[in-house]
Amino acid sequence: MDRAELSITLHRLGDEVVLRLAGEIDMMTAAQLSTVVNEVLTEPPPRIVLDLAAVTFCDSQGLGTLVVLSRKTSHSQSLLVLTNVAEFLRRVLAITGLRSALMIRDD
Amino acid sequence: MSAERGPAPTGGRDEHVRRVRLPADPRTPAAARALVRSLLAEADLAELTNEALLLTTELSTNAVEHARTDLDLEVVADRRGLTVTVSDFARGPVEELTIGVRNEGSDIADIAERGRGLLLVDHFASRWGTTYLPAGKGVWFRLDRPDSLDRPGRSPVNGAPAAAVTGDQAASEGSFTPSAAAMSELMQTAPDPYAENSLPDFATSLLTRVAEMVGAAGGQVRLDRGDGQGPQLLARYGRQLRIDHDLVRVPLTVHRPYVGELELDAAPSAYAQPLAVLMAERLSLHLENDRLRRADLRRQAWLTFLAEASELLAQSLDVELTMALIPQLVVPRLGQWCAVHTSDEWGRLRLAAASHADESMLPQLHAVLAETGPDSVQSRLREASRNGTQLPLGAPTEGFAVPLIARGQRLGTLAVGRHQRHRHDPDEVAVLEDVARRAALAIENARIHAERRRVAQALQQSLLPPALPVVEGIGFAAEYVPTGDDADVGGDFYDVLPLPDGQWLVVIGDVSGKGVQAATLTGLVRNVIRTLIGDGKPLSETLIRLNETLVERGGGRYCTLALAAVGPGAGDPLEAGNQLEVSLHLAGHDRPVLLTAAGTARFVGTGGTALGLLDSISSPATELTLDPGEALIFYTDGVTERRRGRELFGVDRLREAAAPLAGYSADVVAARLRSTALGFSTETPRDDIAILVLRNDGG
Repeated sequence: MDRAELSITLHRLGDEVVLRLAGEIDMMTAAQLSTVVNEVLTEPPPRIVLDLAAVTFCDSQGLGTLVVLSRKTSHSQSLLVLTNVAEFLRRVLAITGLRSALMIRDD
Repeated sequence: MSAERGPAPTGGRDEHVRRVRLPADPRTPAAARALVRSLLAEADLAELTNEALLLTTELSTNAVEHARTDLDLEVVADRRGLTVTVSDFARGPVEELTIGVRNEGSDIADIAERGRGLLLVDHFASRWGTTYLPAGKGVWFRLDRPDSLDRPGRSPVNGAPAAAVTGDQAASEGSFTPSAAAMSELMQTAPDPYAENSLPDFATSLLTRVAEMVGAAGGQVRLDRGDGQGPQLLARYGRQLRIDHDLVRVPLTVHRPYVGELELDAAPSAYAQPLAVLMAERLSLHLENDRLRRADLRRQAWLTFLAEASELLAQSLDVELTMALIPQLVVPRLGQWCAVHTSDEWGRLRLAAASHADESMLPQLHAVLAETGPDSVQSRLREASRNGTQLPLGAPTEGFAVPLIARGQRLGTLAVGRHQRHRHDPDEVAVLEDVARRAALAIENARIHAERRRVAQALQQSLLPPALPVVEGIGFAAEYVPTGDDADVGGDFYDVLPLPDGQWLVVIGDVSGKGVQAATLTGLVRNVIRTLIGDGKPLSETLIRLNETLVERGGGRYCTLALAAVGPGAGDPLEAGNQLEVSLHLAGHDRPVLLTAAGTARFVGTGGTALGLLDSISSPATELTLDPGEALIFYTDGVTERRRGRELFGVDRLREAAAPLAGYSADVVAARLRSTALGFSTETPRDDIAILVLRNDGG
């Protein structure tokens, strides 16, 4: 059976913790993302960067998770930054009005 | 809603269809994506991949999260786009599908975590909606290629509606495109012409066909016939409709008082609306037929009712009875209660009769009717009577006040309480007026009849002597019975008057015919006899003069007469034990019975000519003597022609009845004969009856 796969690799670059995501974010994998970010937030760095370059799919569950994580990060005096956001996901963020609420870094 | 024009039926040539059942599992959305992805590739629709995968994921995630049952995924792709339907098997109503609100703020603290799935579906889908299937419910979306000519206009990106929506968009699915055969079946469905009440079956059959053709899971037709029962379910199909859903609603094109509506669950077919309209039209046509037929029947029923009421009222010639009858006719057909008031010459109303459908309410009704005051029923009734027009009665005794007017006379009022459940329809109000008119005529007729009866009785009394003279040695007794129709004056009369020579004249007669003219003639005969006799004319001359008078002035009527001059033998004083001499003239009259003291009875006298028929008459005199205890019994044909079926009382019965009465006084003889004659038959007398007895009381 097909199943959503998401792999996350963690890189520390100076002030930033960069999480490179590869695969699909949906109800199956969103929790995985939460777990990793929550671990990082036990010792919050100034910035957590989610590199979405290799994300092939993200549904509204994924968006919700990004909202929750972004909120938690700011509570921890840190910043959650999205980078390498694909065109279609940018559209989805625009449609849902999340583009201005999430921090997106243009590369 | 309005139907969107969908692409033409694809017919399957370029169609790719996949159906799969998936478990309620977090892995399911990915599996659904895989299926959609492969079909997109197959159908060469790669350009829709992002949207198709996202929307498929949103729908299947919803199903997994909320329904928690297996879900069926159906993907249909053609050259222009694809349709994905995700259905689950959850029982009960579909959970409200809410399109989340697009976020407008930038503070992450205020932003909702969830509720964006349908916002995305609503944004990206060309059309989407819900569908109810026998086993569960589904949500579907359609994605058209961007270059598709049929792509309908979408709401602007930044203005997605925030309303609760459950499928107000129609899709055009291969499986929900009506076939020519189905269309033709729909058009050929017709009510069973021989069924008693074929409309519900017809409506159900139409509704079922349409719902099946467009894939609607439920539908109903409601009809209010305006008969006070409110909207009734005429037909129903599938699952119960939910009021808060957007439904296909088509009003039925019927005329008042009919009102109806066809409602159909939103269906994944662009044909839902036009087919619903088509069905409503077909159904409306037959409903109109039904309405007209029922109106016809109702009018016929009212006509029959009016005819029967008229007949009943016409039969009653008694005022009191007529009054009592009217409320019985009205309640409960035309109202809950009814009261009849009569009006006297000063316009004052008096309650004559009242009736209530619920007997136990009668005291309360009487109490309400007895109320006085500006807003009372009485005051409204007076107003109706004064104005001569129908008036409504206000709450709490709602109804109508109708004046009773006949031949310009205000006779009173009819008050009718409204029906318990519904208002009077215009037909009923017209019928009520008609009943009031007929009732008024019946009351008037009964009054006229009563008046006539009083006149007849007064006239009759005036034609008979108030009391017979009391003469020493001679007993006179008379009995008179008017006809059964007591408004008619009979033609019989009798008289006993003194003659100048000390004798007494006994007269009994019968003028032909009945009624006032006969009575007039009776009066004439009686007066002519009195005048001539008073002038000392002999009996034979009296009869000749009377005949002349009748021939001249009788107007074709004639008269039979028996005259008997009675007195003691010449020179003899009236003493006990003496004979009485009788000179008897019979002008066409039945011969009297001579009853002897020994109890024999025989007819005596010689017949003469009736008066008023011929210019000259013969009136032979018969001289008799009455011994003490003997009696002469005179009578009219009301006695001998008294009927029992086809049998007549006859002269022989009279004679036989008289014989045992020997020895009794004149009073007793007359009274006994009267009761014998009356007792002969149970019928009321058709002709009046007169019996006069003359008896020698001497000895």
